[in-house]
Amino acid sequence: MTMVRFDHDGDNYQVSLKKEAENIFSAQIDDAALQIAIDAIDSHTLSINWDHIRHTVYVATDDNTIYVHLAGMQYAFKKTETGHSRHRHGGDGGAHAADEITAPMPGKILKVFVQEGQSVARNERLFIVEAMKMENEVKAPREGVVKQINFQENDLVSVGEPVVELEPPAEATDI
Amino acid sequence: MPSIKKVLIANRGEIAVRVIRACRELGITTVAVYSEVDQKALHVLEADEAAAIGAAAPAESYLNIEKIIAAAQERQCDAIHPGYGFLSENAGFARRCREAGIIFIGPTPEAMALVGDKLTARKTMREAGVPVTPGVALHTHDQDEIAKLAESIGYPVMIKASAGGGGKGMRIVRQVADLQSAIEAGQREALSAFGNDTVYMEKYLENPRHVEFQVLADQHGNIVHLFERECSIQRRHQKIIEETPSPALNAALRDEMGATACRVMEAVDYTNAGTVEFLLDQEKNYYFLEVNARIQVEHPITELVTGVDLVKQQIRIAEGQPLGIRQEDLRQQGHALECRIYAEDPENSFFPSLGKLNFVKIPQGPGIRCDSGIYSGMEVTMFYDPILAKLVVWAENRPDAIRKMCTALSDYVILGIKTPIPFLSDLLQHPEFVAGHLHTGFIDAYFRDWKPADGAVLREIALIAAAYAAGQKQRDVPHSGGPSVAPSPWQTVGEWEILSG
Repeated sequence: MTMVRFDHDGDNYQVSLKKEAENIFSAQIDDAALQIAIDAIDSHTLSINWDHIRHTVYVATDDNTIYVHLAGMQYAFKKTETGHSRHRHGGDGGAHAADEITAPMPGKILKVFVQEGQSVARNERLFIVEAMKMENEVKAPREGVVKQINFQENDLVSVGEPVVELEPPAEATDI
Repeated sequence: MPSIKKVLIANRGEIAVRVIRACRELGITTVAVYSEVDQKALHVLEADEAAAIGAAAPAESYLNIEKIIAAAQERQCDAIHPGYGFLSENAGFARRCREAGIIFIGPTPEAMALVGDKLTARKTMREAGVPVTPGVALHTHDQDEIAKLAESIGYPVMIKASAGGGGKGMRIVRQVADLQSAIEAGQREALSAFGNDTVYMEKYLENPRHVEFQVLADQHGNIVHLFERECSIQRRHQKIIEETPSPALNAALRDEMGATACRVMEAVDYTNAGTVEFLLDQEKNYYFLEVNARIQVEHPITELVTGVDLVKQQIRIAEGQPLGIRQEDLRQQGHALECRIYAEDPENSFFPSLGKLNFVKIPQGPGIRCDSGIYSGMEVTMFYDPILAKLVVWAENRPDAIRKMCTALSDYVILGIKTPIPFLSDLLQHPEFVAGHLHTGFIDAYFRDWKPADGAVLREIALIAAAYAAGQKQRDVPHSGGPSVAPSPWQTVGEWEILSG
């Protein structure tokens, strides 16, 4: 019996799989139960038969992520310990997340236009991320003061990493 | 007449692989070049020989003229094929090849300088009576001056790299406030992609079609066009779906535009393979856009409808052979479609998606061609153009070609990074696409904020497959540390009982 929790784009699933016979498994996904046949074709290919329909499914595992291809769709399921979403953009991040201006794509910090302590207007340029000869300019989502800059020019960033942290403008805190 | 015996391919990725295969079929020895991060790239594995040319940054390797010339001389190559991008449209490189006594498989440096510099090309075409859109060079850094120029053309305007192509260095500007940052970004991108930061500004036509004509011209004055390719489906000014024939052209307009394309190439004494790009407005007026003085990414669709191997033609023309094709022999048969498979996330503004390709499986079947630069286990890095592969199909007519492409896309497995495969499939089935109503603003018009729509049943099966794989992984852990060619975990599938015990 295998029991795994997955995160897929912020949605959490609990899946358990129990072998009943040669290639027959009973599966439970959250509250739904179903019985299926799984034939392993090779190390990346499964033939899954459910309700008389065959699906060829391709899988690959990398660290904690299991990638699945099925009928032209691609899924990246992240194994989670607690079943909690750890997404930065999620609702639980709240006000804190909104203060972090993150890299929209992986790449190199090409330019940083602001300095710590500097006031910025809404839509003012903050920094540029570059990858694959493409530049992406990130602007301030709102007015504020640059509290912290976590990267310098030429540093490498991953998608979603906070590059600039903003705090509310000084006037607002005085009132 | 020189006979080419050994070719250095000054490129990487799928196009380098494509050229290597053409050479091999012609009995020509190939030499790949590679940067530090490309030591195990597919083009290196496919070539007869490979030469290291420097660090990952393009300026240190694939754009480094002297290193590439030195490699060609050291390996005694008699010709260099530049592919597309990188040095392919660099007249200085073509000239340097000539000085070194190496055949450059492409146009002469003189023709390339005339057309490769988009500003000079526009001027030449205006003088030759070819219609062009209103535009102006940006020789000044004076912001007020530039704002006045933009005003005189009328917004929206487009900033473009004079040395450019492939959407690099291009920015649409709709108001004066955005002008400066667009020009600066365009200049930086142009410098990094082409080694030249000259940009110009032209009138931006709203929702035109992009229709281009493939031309072949030999060194003896023979010239033919191999009909059009419609490349209107673009994101970030970069084509992602191309097809031929164009649903917008009738026979009369096709003949007229094809003849104009040949006239454009004759005006600059062009030789070898090249493409004349036009914008076609909603009233079917066409305007010269630019000449792409190289093999195009989308060349396979022309090959599929005409039966002509364009890369082999390039090599024969470079040897000085006369064209073996006459205009009246050429026919467009059936319909071909190409989808570009980029390393990018269609759910996140098509931004690059980097990482390891854990598993790749290429679709097969009648009428399906995949020009690919990837394999399972390969790493996609941030240094180069994000194109991974091109999926190309041929069928007897457009509706069949669309259905064939959707089937092939569905069978195309790339696991480990995001690709636009599910997006492309949705786009091809959109009623406006099916109706052939294409324009360059198509994706913005119909596919803003696109999300994949999977069914609940499919997701459940995907989850079960993932759980199955996770079960195998857990069981595998004690055995880890062995060689990577360990037996398939599925062979020991009977050990499931251990987990349930």
